[in-house]
Amino acid sequence: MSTVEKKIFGQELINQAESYVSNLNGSSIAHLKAQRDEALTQLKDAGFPGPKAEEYKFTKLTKAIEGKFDFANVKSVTQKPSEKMKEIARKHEGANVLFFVNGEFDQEHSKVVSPESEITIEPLNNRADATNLMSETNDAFAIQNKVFVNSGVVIEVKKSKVVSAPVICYYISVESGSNVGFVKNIYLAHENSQADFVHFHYSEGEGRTFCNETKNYIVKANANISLYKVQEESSNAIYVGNTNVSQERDSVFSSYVFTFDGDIVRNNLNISVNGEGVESNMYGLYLTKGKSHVDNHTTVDHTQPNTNSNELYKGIIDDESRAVFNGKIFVRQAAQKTNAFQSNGNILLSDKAVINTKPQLEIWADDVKCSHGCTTGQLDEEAIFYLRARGISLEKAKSMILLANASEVIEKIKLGWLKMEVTDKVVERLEV
Amino acid sequence: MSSDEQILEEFTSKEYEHGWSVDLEADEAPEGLNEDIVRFISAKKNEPEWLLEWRLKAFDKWSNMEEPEWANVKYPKTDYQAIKYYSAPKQKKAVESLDDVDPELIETFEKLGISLTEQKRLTGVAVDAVIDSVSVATTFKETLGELGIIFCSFSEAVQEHPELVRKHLGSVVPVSDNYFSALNSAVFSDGSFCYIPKGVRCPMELSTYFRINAANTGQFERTLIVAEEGSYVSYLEGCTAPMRDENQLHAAVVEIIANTDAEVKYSTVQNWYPGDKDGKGGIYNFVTKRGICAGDRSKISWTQVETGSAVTWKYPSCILKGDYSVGEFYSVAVTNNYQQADTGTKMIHIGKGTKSRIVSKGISAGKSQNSYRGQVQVMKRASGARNFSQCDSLLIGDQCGAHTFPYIDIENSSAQVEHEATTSKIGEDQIFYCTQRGIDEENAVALIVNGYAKEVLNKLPMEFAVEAQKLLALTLEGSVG
Repeated sequence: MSTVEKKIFGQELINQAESYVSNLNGSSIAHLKAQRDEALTQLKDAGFPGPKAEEYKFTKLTKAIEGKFDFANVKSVTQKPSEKMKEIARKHEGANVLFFVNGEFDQEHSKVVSPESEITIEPLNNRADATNLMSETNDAFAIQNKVFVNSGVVIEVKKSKVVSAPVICYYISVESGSNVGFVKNIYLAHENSQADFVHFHYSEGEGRTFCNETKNYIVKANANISLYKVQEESSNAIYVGNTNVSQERDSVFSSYVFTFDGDIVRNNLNISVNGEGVESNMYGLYLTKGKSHVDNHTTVDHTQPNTNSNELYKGIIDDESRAVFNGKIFVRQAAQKTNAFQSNGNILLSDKAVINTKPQLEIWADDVKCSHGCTTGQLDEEAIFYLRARGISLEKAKSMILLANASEVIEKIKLGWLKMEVTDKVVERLEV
Repeated sequence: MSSDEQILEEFTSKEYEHGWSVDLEADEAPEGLNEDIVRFISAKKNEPEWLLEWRLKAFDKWSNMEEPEWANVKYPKTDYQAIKYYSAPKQKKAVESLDDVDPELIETFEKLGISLTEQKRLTGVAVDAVIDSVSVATTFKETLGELGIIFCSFSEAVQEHPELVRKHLGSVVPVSDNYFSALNSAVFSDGSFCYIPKGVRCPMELSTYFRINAANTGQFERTLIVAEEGSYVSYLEGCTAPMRDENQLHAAVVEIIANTDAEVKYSTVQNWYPGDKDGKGGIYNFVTKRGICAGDRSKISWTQVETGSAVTWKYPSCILKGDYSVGEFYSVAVTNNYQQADTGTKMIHIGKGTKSRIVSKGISAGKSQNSYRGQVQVMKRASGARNFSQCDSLLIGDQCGAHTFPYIDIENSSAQVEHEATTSKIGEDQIFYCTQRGIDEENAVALIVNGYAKEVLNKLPMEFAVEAQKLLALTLEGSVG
């Protein structure tokens, strides 16, 4: 029997990472540097996911970015869409608005309205203590983020405070500098706090861009945190994001992800349930068209008893686009009395559209209630007939049914203004 | 110790009841695997040149392959050079009728509960018995022969129907399909061959019994079933092995070809030795089973009851190539002690209007791990394809695990695919309901589990359903969760 040596994929990306680090000449902040060096070693050992890697089986990210970007010389953005940013800041009256252009935190255009007694926002570089608050996954792109990241913020929600003004983050991809962005934001929600974070990801222009983002949420006991993510990048933008969540006793964390566009979008959501009585909600809606490729990977790891998780992801897949869904639920032996529910529904609108879904349950505890369901189909003919019998055109009937389908997820949004905004976008997409 | 633990303890110390071995004089190949062994096996079987070449090609492919590691099972790797690849019960001359069969052999089968003579007369099931991967006796040959049905050992088929074997061998499971199929293709020693001619409905159940007897051997048999246009056959397979401390490998390949309007029903009751309560010994059951619905409106149905083996790793699959063809998979997998099972199915929808149905029931107890892994793939041209999958897991005790890995890949917008899975334990209220009516806890569990698995057990032919139910009840003795 021959033993084949382990093959390292993405060698060019690794070389670029190495020269990027040596170009820095140790000029970076000490706490980031230690992490950077460690991550680089990890990257060299494990490499990037190859064509057969299970986690990236359908999303060939390594191939998509290798040789397409100059990671060795990551340059700052030279042209920022200042006018646009000012306009956005004006639009969100009474809210905290933060801007990240190709990953770089833009303090100049950002505005904070909440008092410091409720919330503090500081650049990542000033907060050595915040970088190692939680363990992260060994996803190759999360490691890549650690090697390159130089920018981000640490947002702290103070103990027993309810932040009434939402924190709105804009991640703008522009064709400027080296077209790549790395950003890492850390959200620390102290005991009994409550806050809503809204993230808009969009592209300015049609340039080929790459964004690698890490969000770490540390949710302390009794805190209630919501994360909204609206993704509308251009059909040339590649995005990979890792959202890591660590939940302590009796906390509630809800994630809402709406994906409309992008060349390749990969969202990794990892929730680690570390306390009793925790509730985790994951909702997602992806409407894909053209040639876009949207991949949602979620993981909930129940390690403690009496915890609940709910997951609902829906997709409407059109044209030649492809959607990938992989939902993992782990219930460890100690996590008795866990309820975990997962549901994934997909509608394919075209014969060239593809869906790859894998709802995965791994259970080591016996006193649990876990279920998952997954459906893929087309529009209900009876429902269409019902509407057509009432004089509604076929096209109109279809879009009504699709909208009704999507609204199951939209209805979960708790922020009124955002619910309206997302509904408008969905209607615009589905309307004929 | 709580009563639960006590009962679990009792349950886990239950011995394997098929764990005897008989000293049959065997004709064996030396340990190890190389080209010479492949030639040795081929020469032993007096095989034609093309088959030897086919085997050598498979061996070459296998030598360049790596043992796969993706399954959700952990086991010490097999040393492929420490296995004897050929072991045949020695017989003085070719067997003409059952009366000539070695009496010790007959005794073996009587212990198994499948007395060949009795079977022949009473039950009306044609049996092909395979010990240490060599077919020793086939019953009812003449009756079947009158209808044009060929049911014989694989080596006999190679001698007597080489054109059929050559045409179909490896057509569903190609040599290089996977590591174990390549290994099997190189060293398979025997198996069963079954051919149902056009328009014939096989009047009886065809059955194969597999048994590993000799120590240090692997069993590598091959089954090939060809159902011509409009034919029907129901095929059963059963397996046992003696208790041994070391792990033994069973790497079989089953290929089914169903032509237009044909229907093949394949049922398995697998009860290989699962290892002792500390997880020592037991069979590695790495089997490749695949059927192709080659013609329109054909149907292949897999039913399996998996209670044995230390490690089970198999996915009986259907390639639904013909338009409006149907694939079915019904499975009950029970694991106990340190048993591990990673089993499921693949339904590949290629033809228009193809339908598939998957019902998988996993029951894990002791410290076992039970995984369902399945794939439903709907190709571009498979318009109107329909799939329904249901995989339920039942956990008994808090040391075991149940895992589900369904892959659903759809490329056609008119496909309708549903998948649902649940995991639960036996409800206290269910047990309470039974005990309240004077049924003791143990019988209540057996009752509930039987009801839970009923959907699958119902699909088994009568002869097997009884055995399967007995097996289930035995395995679940004292397993109140």
